Amino acid sequence: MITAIVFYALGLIIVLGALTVILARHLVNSFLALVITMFSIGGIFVLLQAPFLAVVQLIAYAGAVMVMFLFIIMLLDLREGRSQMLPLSPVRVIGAVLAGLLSFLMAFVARDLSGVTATQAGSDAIGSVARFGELLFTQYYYLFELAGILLTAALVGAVILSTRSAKEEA
Amino acid sequence: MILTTHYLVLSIILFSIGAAGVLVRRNLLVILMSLELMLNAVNISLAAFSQLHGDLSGQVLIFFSMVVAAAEVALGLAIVILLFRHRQELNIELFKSLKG
Repeated sequence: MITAIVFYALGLIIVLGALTVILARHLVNSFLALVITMFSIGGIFVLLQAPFLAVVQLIAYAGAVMVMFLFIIMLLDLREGRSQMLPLSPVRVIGAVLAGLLSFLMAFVARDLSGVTATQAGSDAIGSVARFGELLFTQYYYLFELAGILLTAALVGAVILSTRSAKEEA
Repeated sequence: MILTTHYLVLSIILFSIGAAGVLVRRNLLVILMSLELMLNAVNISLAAFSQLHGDLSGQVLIFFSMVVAAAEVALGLAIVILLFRHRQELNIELFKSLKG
């Protein structure tokens, strides 16, 4: 019962936050709504018995990534430009209709699973951080190393991108 | 215990909102934020299926998806800064020079 209340509250916050992200006129409002949404998704991870992912979500997403966004918003002195939305055109309307159809289709697939819920035995097995770490460092060890290489490459790429253009302007 | 369907429906709603944001907004930063929304929607559905099957591999996959998302944001924001230096604005309608 309490789980259901928490789930629906979090779901409401997530949906409203996401809508605010794409509808807000000011960039900072979008950003704040995004932070709230990320926090609530962390709560969803707790409900889904993924405590480690919930912590990573809070630290890496709601923390680090959002601070990066905030830095960029502060650094770039953005003027309020013209209308924030793209102009409506027939192609765009057709695209919106197709996107709506796609979500209905996905909901239909999800409906096939209605009545299915995780077995208690299964959910006890996945809730532990220790087993998560064990799996990550045995079966998925090479992927883990590759992820490290990817992050290093992204870091070097970001540094090169930003320093090269500064040199060109000087 | 909440049905897996409910998590999936939440994930679908979140993904659709993110996709709509990418399609409709003009500001490059808001488009990046909408991309983050879509990535998180997929993460929620992965976690739901991981719980449904009682298999931790789904959670490991989410972990890697978060790593990729972090790399994507770092590079994306670097590119945003480059574009802003170039044009002093982030309206995507100004960045049509690659269009054939």
